Amino acid sequence: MRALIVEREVAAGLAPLLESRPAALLPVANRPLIDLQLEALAAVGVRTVDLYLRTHPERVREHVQEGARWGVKVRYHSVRAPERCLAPGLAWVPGDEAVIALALDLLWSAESLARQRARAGNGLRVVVDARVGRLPIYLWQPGGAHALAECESVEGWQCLDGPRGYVAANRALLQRLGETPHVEQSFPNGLYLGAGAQIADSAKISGPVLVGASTRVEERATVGQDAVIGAGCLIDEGAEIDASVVLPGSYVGPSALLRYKIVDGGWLIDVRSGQATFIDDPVLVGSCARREREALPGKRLAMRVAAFAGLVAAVLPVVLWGLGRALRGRPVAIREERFVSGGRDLTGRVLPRTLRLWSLASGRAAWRHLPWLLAVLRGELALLGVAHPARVPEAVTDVHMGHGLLVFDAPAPETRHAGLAYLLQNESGAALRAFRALLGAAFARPALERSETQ
Amino acid sequence: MNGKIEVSELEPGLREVAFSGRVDAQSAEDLRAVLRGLALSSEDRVLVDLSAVELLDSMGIGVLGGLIRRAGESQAQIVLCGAPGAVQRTLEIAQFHRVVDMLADRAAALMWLAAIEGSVS
Repeated sequence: MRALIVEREVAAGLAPLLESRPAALLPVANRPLIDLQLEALAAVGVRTVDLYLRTHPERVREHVQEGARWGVKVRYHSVRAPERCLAPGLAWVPGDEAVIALALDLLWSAESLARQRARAGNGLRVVVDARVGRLPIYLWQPGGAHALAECESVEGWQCLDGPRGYVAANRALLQRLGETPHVEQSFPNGLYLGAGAQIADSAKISGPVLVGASTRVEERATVGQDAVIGAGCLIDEGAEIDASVVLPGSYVGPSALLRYKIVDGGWLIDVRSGQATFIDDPVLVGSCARREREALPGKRLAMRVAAFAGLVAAVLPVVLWGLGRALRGRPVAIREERFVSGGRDLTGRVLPRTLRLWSLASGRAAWRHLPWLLAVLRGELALLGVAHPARVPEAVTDVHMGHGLLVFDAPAPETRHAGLAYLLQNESGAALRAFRALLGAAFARPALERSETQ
Repeated sequence: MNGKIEVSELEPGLREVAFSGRVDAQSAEDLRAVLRGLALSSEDRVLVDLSAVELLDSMGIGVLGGLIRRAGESQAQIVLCGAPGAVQRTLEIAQFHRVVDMLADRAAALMWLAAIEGSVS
């Protein structure tokens, strides 16, 4: 059995919903329209489906693909006036295969379709409903007369002919939702939850209510009967939603009251009057994407402040600890000596070439400084800075000489004050550099700078 | 294979233009020359079969666009059919579905032309 699904021109009241999506992907009870149609057709034995599309055929093709998910084979046609398919007496109707042709915006339950098919018998059957006149559904059995066969009132369909029809279709599917396997979780109060949806403890829910995947309903929000909330929405604190449809990715602001409304991003459609208003502000209704985008500068600043505070909180104890340790021990003045020509240090010892090159080329402290710095960290020495021997205070007496590194070690505790005074008066810049070296050494990247050549 | 066009008359007033091969810059001028010889009137219906097209580049789009524009100017009915996946995507990206009907295969296109004729009459 073959089927034709025809995308008619959309009802004017629903046009805002189709600005960003093709009609075939318009969600009804959080499922794309085309999924529902293909599911119903597959259930009545249809194996080949011709899609006559008007808008964004490439996106529909991407979603439906070959139709294997429903066990049907789908063929795509992009035509500008697909409703021509539904005019009676078309050449496609007589054939060697039973055919159902129906409009995309008419939702039939599988049971109703099966009933219509059984009644069709041989011949072309055009289903007519007294409420809306002729419905665009045609059933053709091969070998029958090529004529309109029957007119009657029927049940079991929903027409998305405007905001009212759209909300009614959502409601009808919501009533049957318990029978379908497309809901992640269902609760006795009629709440159906998609994957990852979150409902705050103080939110009030009175079912049937469908909340899509990854949607958040915040504190004190009220979601009443027949509300369908799409995936990825945010219902803010104190918002009230009743008999309304919130399409995916929409934001409903704090204390907003939605009754008989359709929200799609920034669009707010009043179901009763059919009036559509574009609001899209971050307070009442809007798109989650825009809200996040606009909130980003403030959020980014807050994140930076938090990161800075975290960094300070992490580093400050280390700095204080280092300062405490550095000033607790005996004062010591460290002077980096630039090596004399010929690669000899002050003692006249020939230095290893690598060491000499390293010291001259990088101008930074090296591993050889580490023992002194560790001694400072242990509290045995106090770091005063890089000093010129001629300016070292008298209280600082002992001199250790290493590989180009002079360490003046003051044995008496009282010399600490003399050393500190010296530091503050003469060597504050050098002390800073020395302290940087201390930190650098702690992270295995020594950065003690050399003093001027003696 | 270089692009080719075969024009045939299926029935009075119904022409079939079958493209094949690589419809690209190399073959575009030859194809245009063939299509220039195709006289169209408001009574005509044209079925453009793309099922044997291997590649359609921007020059090929220009060739097809020229044919569609001429059909529009002469008020002839024209449909495209049978475009393979990549060619179909190219046509959809170029928004051809807004200016011309594109059917999945030749049989569907013939039915569509018949339907158009039926609904017009």
